[in-house]
Amino acid sequence: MGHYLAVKSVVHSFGAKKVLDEVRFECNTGDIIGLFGRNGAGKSTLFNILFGTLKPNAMEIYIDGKLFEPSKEQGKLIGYHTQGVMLPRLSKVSDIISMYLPLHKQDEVCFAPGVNEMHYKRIHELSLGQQRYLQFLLILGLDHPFMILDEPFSMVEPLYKNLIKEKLLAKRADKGILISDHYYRDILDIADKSLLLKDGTLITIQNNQELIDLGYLSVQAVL
Amino acid sequence: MGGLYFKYYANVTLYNLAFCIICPVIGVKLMGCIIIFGTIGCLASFSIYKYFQNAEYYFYANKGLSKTHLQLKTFIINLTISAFTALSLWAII
Repeated sequence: MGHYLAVKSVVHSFGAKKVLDEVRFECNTGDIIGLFGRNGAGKSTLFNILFGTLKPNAMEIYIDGKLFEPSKEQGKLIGYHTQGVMLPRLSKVSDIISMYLPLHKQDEVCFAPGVNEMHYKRIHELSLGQQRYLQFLLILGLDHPFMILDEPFSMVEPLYKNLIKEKLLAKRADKGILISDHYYRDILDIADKSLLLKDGTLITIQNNQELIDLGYLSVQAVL
Repeated sequence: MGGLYFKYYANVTLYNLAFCIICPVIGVKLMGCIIIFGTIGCLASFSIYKYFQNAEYYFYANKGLSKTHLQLKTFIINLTISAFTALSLWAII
């Protein structure tokens, strides 16, 4: 069954600086929406508001037509892959997988490429790239209909990057995905729709040239 | 879900126990340490956890365990353990 997320309005300020000004977008099951923005543009702020860990000045969000209050329904409808590593450092990978995911989803993670070699290690014994890859697989394995991915490609080796892209494309049938990363080419490879967060508002992007024109990319970066 | 909560509880309680073990060094008596475990020690352990492992709250939140829920439950458990132990000790003495 498809789900429908409608962000009608999100407004948030830090002091006098208005970071999000009437932000609005929609995300359905099957969508992969790429979100770009310079450092400090408010991408993570928007993600934290949608996940319920930050209370905005004002918001109006609907999921499947019902008013959605992120803080009250945290961890039920939206999964959030953070910029940093959020896995408990002292825990064993095998323990985390078995505690975090239902039985029928555990095999998907356990038999994913690269997981076998880390299965009996503790999180702090893994490289940063492995930690982030495992974190991605765990969040992807959750039953939530929507998923927010903040910099899933950062620190991850090219081989894992391709696996992440394959898995996202495979999972889009069940989920609506909002993804942000400064590795813009990886995002453009998989996103159906791209948005740029600039001066607190979202602008729909059609191609690289628009990212240059709006000051997110330099001409040299695209060449 | 219980296993996931226990993981958080074990992590936070380690800090709390370390805090309580240090207390006798500065002259706090056994009964004082037990009371600290259920009160100030518990609050201190939340602060230490937040300082070192704040990002892990997102790990639990993704499964519907909010920071408030985790801390409140832990505080109630530790307060109960502390009160029960203190009363038992008081009855024995």
